[in-house]
Amino acid sequence: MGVLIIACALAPLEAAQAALGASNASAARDHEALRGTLAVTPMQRYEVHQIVSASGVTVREYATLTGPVFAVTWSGPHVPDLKLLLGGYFERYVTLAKTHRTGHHVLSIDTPDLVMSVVRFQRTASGRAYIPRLLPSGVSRAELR
Amino acid sequence: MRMHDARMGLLLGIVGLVTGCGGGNSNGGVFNFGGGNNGGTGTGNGNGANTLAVTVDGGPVAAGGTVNTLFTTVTICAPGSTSECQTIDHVQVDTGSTGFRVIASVLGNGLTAGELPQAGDGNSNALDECVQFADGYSWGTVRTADLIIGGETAAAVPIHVIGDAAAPAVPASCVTGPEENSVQSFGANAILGIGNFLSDCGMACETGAMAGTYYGCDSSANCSPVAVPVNQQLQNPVSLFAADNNGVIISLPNVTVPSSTVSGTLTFGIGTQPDNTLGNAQIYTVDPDYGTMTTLYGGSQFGTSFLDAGSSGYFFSDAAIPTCADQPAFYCPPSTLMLNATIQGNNGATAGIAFAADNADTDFATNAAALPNLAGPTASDAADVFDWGLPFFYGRNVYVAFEAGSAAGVAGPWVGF
Repeated sequence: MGVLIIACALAPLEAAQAALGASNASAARDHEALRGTLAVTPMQRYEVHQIVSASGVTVREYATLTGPVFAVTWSGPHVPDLKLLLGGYFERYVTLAKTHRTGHHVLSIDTPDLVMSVVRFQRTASGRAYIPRLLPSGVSRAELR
Repeated sequence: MRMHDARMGLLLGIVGLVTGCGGGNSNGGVFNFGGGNNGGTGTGNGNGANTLAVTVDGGPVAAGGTVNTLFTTVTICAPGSTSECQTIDHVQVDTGSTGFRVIASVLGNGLTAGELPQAGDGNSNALDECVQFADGYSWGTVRTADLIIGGETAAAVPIHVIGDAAAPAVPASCVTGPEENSVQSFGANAILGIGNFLSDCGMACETGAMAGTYYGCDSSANCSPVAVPVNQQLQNPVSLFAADNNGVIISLPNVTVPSSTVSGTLTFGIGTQPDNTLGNAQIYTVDPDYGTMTTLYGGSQFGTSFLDAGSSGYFFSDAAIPTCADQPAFYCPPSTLMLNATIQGNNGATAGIAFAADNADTDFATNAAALPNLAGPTASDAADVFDWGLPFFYGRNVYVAFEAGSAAGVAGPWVGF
């Protein structure tokens, strides 16, 4: 499968919109807001928009060709802008995350409308979030790396 | 918001499979508690100058009940002062972060935040910090303090005063989750981060300003991300001790059933005193950038694996174990599961680990603070993260050797048990 490299524009985009649950065009906006380079990998049932930010965080947004972004993952030395990546789901995450029973370094959310895990250990930050009802049929959760 | 180039590598390294030395979990070091996973019959009593008592209990009252959270007591003083001091209880001991952070509302009983000089950035602005944990963010000032920890002192340490009224309103780029600026939301009065690293952010924050970390705030309360030299970032307090400064040992007794309190010892230094020798513990080196190693479990390789006193359970993905209906952050198997995994250091050293996963609903119903078989998922099924939280520490001496030095003749960063 081919990989398209799209040149990155370094000016942050003021009007950057949310990714998760929004149209797949938002991935292009996010890559500008994150000041990174974007590579698009077409898969059988979806595209992966991978953004590597200048500060070393890799963000992947999973979107169908015509539909919304159904998943987003990240890994790197710090937490990316989750308000940008989670969009309308950010407030849902904040509400669900208000517990410290698992400690400060791992967080797991598993609800019918949002599944999310976050790890923040020493100098590692990684996480994944997806919307179960938007997962294309035949796509397994384990594919979302 | 701006994120400048910090040029950190990506978290993609997969450690090759190497059959390493030893394994098993026999330890036999001088701090062994009877009946634990390490065997041995010695006891740590927390009375030496390089030792400090640690406790697992329900936490500060305002936190509303914590589980598997390790606490100790630390005295904070204004730099050079012996009178402007306050002793803080329920300071969480965390090997998953670096630096001392105190909730501002705890101060005011012998020491006020204002008696600690606030740090500045390179532009004559006040230095403030945002820390982003998995479960929320904390925002406050960076101030300088002397920390008295057991019989040892770290002088003129940059610390984080969370929720300090002197800090301007939180910058939008800091807010990546729930706010944790109070004892209630943070779950402790303070946190003592004594992980493998000497500073909390490292070169990434020295090379360039990074949103979500350090901010310079001007007199008009305008805050912007700012680069901060490594030695002016939050420091691992133990590394600043005059002696016994190359690592720590956490020694907890074996815990077999839910318990209201567990008492153990935090020992400073590795191989620097008769009471902190390596004994029979094995060394597992960790990634020098991220502090992670590898766990093999259920036929999968978890490349982001770590020992973390700051996590309340074993956290890993196993789709075969049901999560609890009422709190899916934990596993609820019908009965306790006996499980096995292999921990593998970056040096190839391996250890087979037997552990158990309880029904968490049953555990929580006991209202006990120490739950030795508490486990939960990482929600996405991606076989990458394996977090050996505080239950792993019960019945073991766990060694944490710092970066940029060596302990027991082996260069850090590493962990041992």
